[in-house]
Amino acid sequence: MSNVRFIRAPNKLAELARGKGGLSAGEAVKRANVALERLKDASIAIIDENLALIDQTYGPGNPDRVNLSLDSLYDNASRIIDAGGGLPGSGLEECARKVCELVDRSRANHTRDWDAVDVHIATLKVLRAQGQSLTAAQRKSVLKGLSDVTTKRVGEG
Amino acid sequence: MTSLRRMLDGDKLKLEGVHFLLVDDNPHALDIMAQVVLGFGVRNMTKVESAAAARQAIARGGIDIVLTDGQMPEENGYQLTRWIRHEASESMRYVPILIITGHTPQSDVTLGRDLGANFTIAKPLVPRVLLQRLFWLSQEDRQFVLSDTYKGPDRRFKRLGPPSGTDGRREGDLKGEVGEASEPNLSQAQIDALMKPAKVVL
Repeated sequence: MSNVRFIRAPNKLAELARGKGGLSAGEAVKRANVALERLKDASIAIIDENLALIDQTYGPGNPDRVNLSLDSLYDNASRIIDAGGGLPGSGLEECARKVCELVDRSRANHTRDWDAVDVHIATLKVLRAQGQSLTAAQRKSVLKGLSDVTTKRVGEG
Repeated sequence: MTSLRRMLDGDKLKLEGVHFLLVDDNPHALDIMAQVVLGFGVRNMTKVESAAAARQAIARGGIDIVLTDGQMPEENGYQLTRWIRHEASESMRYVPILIITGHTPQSDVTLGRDLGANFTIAKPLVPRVLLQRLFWLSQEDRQFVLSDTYKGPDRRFKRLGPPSGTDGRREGDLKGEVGEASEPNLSQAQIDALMKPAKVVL
């Protein structure tokens, strides 16, 4: 029979964080956003670098792509998600997440659909160029379209 | 509006004495994490680019919270979480763990929870989301469960509702604060009916 114990573990974070002084939440968030701003250019450079790699490696211009695994596509898309804070409100990181989802489902369903890949890459490029100028409803519609493409061409997750 | 608004308006968090362990194989993502926690006033942090290095840092002790990427080559953040809960020293075994992950399918969230992580946060890392989770952790009084198959914070967290003063993340979360009763309270008979074991007829 399984032996289950419940204990009160020490919450040192609580002890330390509740001490006198400290930053208000608003001030902490403000300072963190200022600190992140310093990384914005580097984030955008990483986004562009990985977008270019995706396009070169998995875009329709590379006839050898059919022989490649999709692992690098997943990794490059993950890098775009990591750096997505560099272009807030563009929908780019959400699009990159959908690329990861496409790869995941392609692996799970043992299938590969290059039309679906092309649509995702084209959408990444559009959102990089114009994502921040689209309305939230437009971005949502674009991203919903990607989910539909993945489900239709590659299958359910 | 929300808990977050209230949090931003008033609450204070003193993190300068808290030692953060930041783990991510991507140096840029690690920089982002570091900048965010520096902005929160954190002065003690250890940054490492692999789970193996994280294990060494934890073995040295003195870590108060772990923020780890979920997906890393060789050994990922989920495996690291499992190691901390099962194999780290007694003093480090209960350290709060936040898994930060890019592509976050439900299966990964469930996996993180079942390995004993406190929360999972989606990338890109947004300061207000991380700070909110830190507030929650600082107020958390979940019991720790130790069993053969699971070691970590009580997973029945959802039933407890969010911490007081917050509105929660899920649509169905109840408010963290109990207000004045707006309707008559339950009668003793109703309470008894809820509490009394009843014979089940099949």
